[in-house]
Parts: sequence; C-alpha cells; structure tokens
Amino acid sequence: MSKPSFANSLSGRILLFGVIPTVLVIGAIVAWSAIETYRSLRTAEESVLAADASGAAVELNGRNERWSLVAAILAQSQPAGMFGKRVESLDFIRQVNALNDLTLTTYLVYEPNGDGNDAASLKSNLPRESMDASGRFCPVWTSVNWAETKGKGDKLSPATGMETLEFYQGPKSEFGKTGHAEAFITEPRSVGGAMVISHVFPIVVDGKFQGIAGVDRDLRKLEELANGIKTRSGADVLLISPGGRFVASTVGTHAGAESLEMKPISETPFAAMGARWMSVGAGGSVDVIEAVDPMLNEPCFYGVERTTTGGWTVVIRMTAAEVMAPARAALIRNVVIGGVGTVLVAGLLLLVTGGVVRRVGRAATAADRIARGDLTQEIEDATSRDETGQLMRSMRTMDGSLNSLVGNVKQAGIRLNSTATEIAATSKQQEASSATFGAASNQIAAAVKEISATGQDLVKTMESVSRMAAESAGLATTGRAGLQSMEGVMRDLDGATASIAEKLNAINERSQKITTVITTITKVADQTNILSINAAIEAEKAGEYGSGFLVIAREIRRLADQTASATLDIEQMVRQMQGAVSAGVMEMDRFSDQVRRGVRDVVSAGSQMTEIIDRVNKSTDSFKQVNESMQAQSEGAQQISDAMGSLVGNANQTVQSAREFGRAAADLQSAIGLLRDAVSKFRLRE
Amino acid sequence: MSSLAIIWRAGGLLFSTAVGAVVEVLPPVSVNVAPAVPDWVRGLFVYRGALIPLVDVARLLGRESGADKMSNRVLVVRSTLEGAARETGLVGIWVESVLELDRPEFGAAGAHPGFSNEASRFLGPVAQTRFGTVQDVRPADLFTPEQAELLWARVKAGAA
Repeated sequence: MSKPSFANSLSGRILLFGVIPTVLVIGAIVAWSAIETYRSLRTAEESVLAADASGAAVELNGRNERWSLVAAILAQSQPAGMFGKRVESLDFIRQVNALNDLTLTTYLVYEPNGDGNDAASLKSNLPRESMDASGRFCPVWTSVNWAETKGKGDKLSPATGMETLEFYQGPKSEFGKTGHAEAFITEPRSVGGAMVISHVFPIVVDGKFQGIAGVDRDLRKLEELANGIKTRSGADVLLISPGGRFVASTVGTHAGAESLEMKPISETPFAAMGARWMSVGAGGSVDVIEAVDPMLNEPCFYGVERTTTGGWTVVIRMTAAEVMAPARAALIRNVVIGGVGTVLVAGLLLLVTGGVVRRVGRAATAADRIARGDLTQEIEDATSRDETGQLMRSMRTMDGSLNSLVGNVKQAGIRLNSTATEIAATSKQQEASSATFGAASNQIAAAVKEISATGQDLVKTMESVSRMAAESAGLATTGRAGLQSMEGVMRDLDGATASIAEKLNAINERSQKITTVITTITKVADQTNILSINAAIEAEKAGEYGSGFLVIAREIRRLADQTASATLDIEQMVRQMQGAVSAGVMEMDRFSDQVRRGVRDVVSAGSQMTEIIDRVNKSTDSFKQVNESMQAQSEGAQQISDAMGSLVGNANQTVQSAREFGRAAADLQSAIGLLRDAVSKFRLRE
Repeated sequence: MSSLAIIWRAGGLLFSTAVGAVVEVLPPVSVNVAPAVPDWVRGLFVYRGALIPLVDVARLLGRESGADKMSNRVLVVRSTLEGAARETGLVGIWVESVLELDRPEFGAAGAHPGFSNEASRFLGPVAQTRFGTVQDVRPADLFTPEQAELLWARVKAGAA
C-alpha cells in the first residue's frame, strides 16, 4: 500500500479546500468592518466638534445681545423723555450700573452742548464729575468691589477721549453712514489696567445724533466663559474679534504657552490659519478644518463658527489623537478579534483533520493485515465519537468476530470428528439392540390385550352405578314436589289466619258501637227518671186530681231504674266480649307467626332437596364421562397392540438402516479432515 | 197523712224536702264560676232565662262534696227569706242524688225534732224511712240574712 502525495492526501485536501478559504473570508470581513467603523466614528466625532463650536457661538451670541440690549435701553431712555434731564439720567445710569457685577462701567455722553444746558449746569448743584470742563454731560459710573458694596460704592467720573476713541466715534460715524441707530461693539481696549470691550448705542433725538450710551464688559468674564466651555466639551476655545484680535482663549492655559489675549492674530503662531478662520460665514454651517497645530506641533481638528451679534469668530480646537481615539480603539478591537478567530478556526480544523487522518490510516493498516489472514494482533479501541471512531470500533468488532468465528470452526472440526467416530460405534450397537427389541415387542402386545379386557368389565360396573344414581335423583324429585304442595297449604293457612284476625277486629269495632248505644240508653233512662220525679212533684201539687198520675209516675220511674240496671249488665257483657276478642287477636297473631316460620322451613328444605337432585344429576354426567373414557381406553389398548405388531417389522428395517448409517459416518470423517486443513490457514490470538 | 217529699243524699247523709217547696228537679248543669264567693256557692247557671245561684248543700253543712257524677241532681227551690222576694227567689241546690219520692212520718213514734242551731236552722225534724234516717230541710230557711244578702247582690250584679 503506497503513501499518497500531500496534495492528494486527506489532510492536504482539507487544508486546501477548508482552512485557506475560511481564513481569507474571515480576514476580508474583519478588514471591511474595521474600515467602516473607523469612517463612521470619525464622521460622528467631527459632528460632535461642530456641535460644540455651534453651541459656544450661540452662547456667546446670547451674551453679546444681552449687553447690546442694555446699551440700547440706556440710549432709548433719552429720546423717550429723559434727554436734558441730567439729574434723573445720572441716577438712572447709576442704578443700571449697580444691577450686577458683570458690568464694569456704565456711561452716557452727550454731544457738546447737545441739550443746551452746558453753561447752566456748570453753575447748578449737579456733581462736577458728571461733565467735562465745558459743562458737556458725560458721566461714567465705575463699579467698585460689587461683591461687598452691591453698587453703593460706585465711583462717578467724566468720560474722556470722545474725539479719538472708537466707543464714541464708532457709533457716530456708523449713524452718519446709515442714518438709523444700531448697536455697536468695540474692539478690546485697555481701560484703567483692565481689558474691556464696550457695547454702545447712539442717542438719536429728532433724527439727530445727540450722543451715546453704553456699558463696558471685563474680558476676564469672557475668559471664564471660555474655560467653562472647555470644561464641558474638553476642547480648547479661541475667540477672535472682527478686527482680528484674540478676545479670549483657553490656549494660554497650556504649560509654557504665551497668553494670546488682546494680540492681533497676525502676531501669533496662528497667523497662517487666521485668514481661513476669518473667512467663515456667520450663522451658517460650522466648518471643520484639519491641520497641524503651530503651537502643539500635532494634527488637530478646528470647528469654526461666527456669532451674529458682534461678528466674533469662535474656534473650537481638539487634537486629532483625542478625536480619533474611539475610532482607533474600535479598529484595534476588530483586528484582534478577527486575528484570534482566524487562528482559532485554523487550529481547530487542523486538529480535527489530524485526528481523522490518523484514525483512517490505522483502519487501513488493520484491514490490510486481516486480508492477509493475520488475526493475531488486537485493534486498539478508538475514543473518538465521529464516523472515523465508529469505523475503528466496527473494525475492532469485526476482528473480534472473525477471531472467534475461525476459532469456533476449528473447535467444531475437532468435536465433529470425535462425534463421527462415536456415531459409527453407536450404529453398530443399534443394529444389535433392534434385534432384541423385536422379541420384547411381542410380550408387550400380549399385556395390552389383557388391559383391554379388564377395561370392558369396568365399563359394565360403571353403567350399573350410573343407573342407581339416576333412580335416587327421581326419588328426590318426588320428595321436592311433596314439599312444594305442603308450602302451598301453609301459605293458604297463613291467609286464613289473617282473615280471621280481620274479622275479630270487626267484632271489636262493633262492640265499641254497642258501648256507645248503651251510653245513650243509660242517658235516656236517667232523663226518664228525672221526668218521672218532676211529674210526681207536679201531680202532688195538683192535689187530689194528680193522685192517679202519681202512681203512673212511680211506675215510669221503676221502669227507668230497671232499664238502667239492665244496661249495666249489657255493658259488663260487652266488656267481657271485648277482652275475649283481644285475647283471640293476640292468639291469632302468634299462630300466624308460627305458620310463617313453618313456610320458611319448608322453603329451605325444598331448596336443599333441589341441591341434592342437582348433585346426583351432575354425578350421573361424570359417570357417563368415566364410561366413555374407559371405552376409549379399551379401544386405545387394541390400537397399541396393533402398533406393536408393526413396530416389530420396523425394528427389522432399522437394523438395515443402522448398517447404512455406519457407512455415512465414515464419509463424514473424511470431509471433516478437509475442513480442518482449510481453517488452519488463519493464525489466531492465544 | 203527711205530704210527699223528695228523699235526697248529700255529703253521705239523707235529707228530705217537701215537694211543695221544689220547683223542678234538673240533671247536672254547667255553671259560670263566680270569683271570690264562699266555697258553698258553685256559681251561677241559667234557669228559664234568668241567672240563679247554685249552692252546694254538702259544703253548706260543712261536709265534703263527692266527685261529680251523672246521677247528681239540682233541686230548684224557692227561698222565701224576708227581703229577698223582690227577685225570683229561686236557688239551685246541688245534691249527690235523688233517691225516691216518699211520705216521711216526722210526727210518728221514733221521730226526733232534730239538732238545729243558728247556722243550720233550715234543718228540721228527723224520721225513719225505708231508705234509712232522713232529716227534713226547709228551703225557706236555707240561708242566714248575710248569706242571702250576698247571693242576691251577686244575682243583681249578674242581671245588670
């Protein structure tokens, strides 16, 4: 059996058509999934950055609008009736300044002699600090330590630099150009050591520019706002004025970095990027720019947005490493899972293949050995439960079966040989026995004939017994009929007794009625007695005329008394009769009970008789069966006798057959010798 | 010849009453029992449309009255006590039995005038008859004035 080449072998084919395609497919799926995840995560992170920039812009815009509104309210109060009322205006702006600590200063500046009161004011009680040397109204309230004073300690001073500074000239020139009042926000500037920006609004009275009102904001408050946004989003915030200066930033907080506040963008490392940032349109979609940061020297993402009020540019900066961290982590995770999965699948496939190849190889070797007739080695047991394991187990079973089969055949050959020898001997012996058997059979036939004759005698005896039993059954039947008629008579007697009892009861009722009649008679006799007495009384009262009647009355009374005594006798007789009837009824009841008991006894005696008859009848049947079987036996004996005759003939034939059988046994012995030669080719285990 | 009398029994003794004083002999009657009257008054009964008292003569004599029987009789007599005539004057006497009508010889030899006192002034002389010794009872003297007053007052109340 030659070994196949690797490409044709089982393991080579499984590797070629199973493992390699699987690994390629898994690798492709992992790579595609990693790229898709990376792309979608990057887009999501860019959207988050844009949302942060947009949110910061909205927040700043809201604050700018609020301060511009404060300036507008201050300015609009003048044409609404306060223009020229310097005392009230002064108090109004002081109150506005004292509202909170976010405002640094609040001010109101008129045009020189705009209200025509400059000269007069110089002489009035109005504080001098609210105007300049010419009497021009230009009060400035400055907050001093608001947390403690709550505006009470605010300081008043005259405004300066109206002819040169932007906070006055800006809105004035703007109004001159457009002709209508609009909020104005200045570039950052330094006032008294603090960085501020001014929100101002022109005062327009009768269509003429008459000055400005405004508030200054401390830039440090804006810095706090930017830091708040950074804390929330984790990104740096840069805020640039329309004039191209940094208004606030969180970049300066980096260690060793220089503060950017107030600097024009062209003088900072961001000069190259500034132009691109400033070109972003206001209120539109946020621009996300990717570039190498000049300060950090690493790739960063910038979200840029413009506020609508003030026109400030808001820049949100985040390093590419921070933005892409989740995407990178997902990519690594995908690659690791894919790699591990691939290795695992390949390993498992190779493991399974190796086992299968090994077992199939072992099976092939074993089959080859068995084919050569070598059954000496045992095939080892396989633990695997798959088809190859089953194959190995089947081979093992087959080997075992072949071993025992060949062994059995060998054994059988040996035994068969000895048996054949024995048979030959036996057939000789049988030949001799058959000869003696013939003589014995003749004796048996004689004995059987005797049995048959005895059986016939027994049959006759049984017939006479059966006849006697039938006679006794007839007698019992007659006895039962007598008992039945006696039972009938007893029942009639019972009926008669009952009718006598009824009649006695009727007599009893009659005697009750007689008693009632006697009572009536007694009552009548009593009444008659009373009547006769009354008649006698009346007769006596009638004197001589009644004497005759008196006698009649006495006679009536005597008859009534006799009636009464006669009824007493009748009553007594009736009572005696009732007693006698009651005694009769009781006697009849007792008699009736005895009759009933007699009937019961007769019935039970009848049923016992029936039972006797049944039993006799049954025994008659049994006698018949015995009789029949005796006859059958007798016939059987005859048949045996006949059979014995033929048996003797057969015995003679058997002697002939035994001789032929002996010859056949010799042939069998020679055939067994051939079989043993054939089996000896197989070598067996011990 | 002496007059005809009714011989009757009460409390185990024999008495006689002249038929002239007897209105009628009645069988036992049912009475309306009157409360709070002496035990010798059995109650009231209706006689010819009028309520009249029924007197137990055995109790009146201070003897035990026997159990009621069918042979008991009521003698309706006229009591002619003074002052009582304004009413019917009839009274029922409850007796054990009426034996016979006879003519006792109260004046004959062997007779006795009897032991009469204020409480039993109605008892007359004693005579021997074929039934035994009998004592005459006069219905007119049957009650004391107090007893009569009581009876008639009840009768009046009944009539009203």
